[in-house]
Amino acid sequence: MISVQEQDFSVADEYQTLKQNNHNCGAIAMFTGLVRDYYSATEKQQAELVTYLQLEHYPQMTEKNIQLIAEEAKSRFDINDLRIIHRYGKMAINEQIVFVGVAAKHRKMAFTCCDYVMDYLKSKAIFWKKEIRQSQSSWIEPTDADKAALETWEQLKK
Amino acid sequence: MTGKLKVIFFGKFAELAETHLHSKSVLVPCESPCTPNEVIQKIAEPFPDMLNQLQQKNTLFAINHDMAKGSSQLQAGDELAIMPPISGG
Repeated sequence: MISVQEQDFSVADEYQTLKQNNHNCGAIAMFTGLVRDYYSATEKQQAELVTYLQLEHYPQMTEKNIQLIAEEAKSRFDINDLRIIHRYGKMAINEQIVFVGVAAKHRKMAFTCCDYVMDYLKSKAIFWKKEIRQSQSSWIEPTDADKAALETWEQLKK
Repeated sequence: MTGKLKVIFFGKFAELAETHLHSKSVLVPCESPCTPNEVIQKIAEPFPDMLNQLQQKNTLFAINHDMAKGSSQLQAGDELAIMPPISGG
């Protein structure tokens, strides 16, 4: 299930739901992304820590686009269940931004699928992130590392 | 046939649009068929900094909520989204 929402979420509740809905699974892997004090800032910008992060989305496209990422993941990996929550709006440092939970028969598949979904969300999910500092702000774009991670998955497909 | 297109800007492009066009979304006349590249040229021509940023290679387009190219065909009544690189997670 996919949720694109402004409000925070409970990892404990998500875990319980995945656990209860997947009795035949031996593994649940979960990832939670948090707002940190800086992202791709230059050294000068890093001197001034981020006050908050603003995430913008395109309502008519973002959920549909994450749904496609989820469907691709389900067809690629032998998993039983996939839960994705992505927040938008204004978030302070240490707040939760994103949740990916995977239930699978085996640990390796759960971890791998979770990693795959996060790599695709980083570079393919339709969001724009702006980090706001006290005296300045900057938009965040996918890093070379993010692009390389995606390229690795794309190569494995072939 | 002529009509109008709804053009919506996102992320840093929305800020540029608010500065120069005073709104994140604008209605522009569209002589069918036209392309996103032509729309950019038409809207941002008076604002070289905006034009320069919109014409970057990594600018993304969506027509009626589906990803499109700068050379895709637009019809009157379409919704064109002009988007900088996306980043989630």
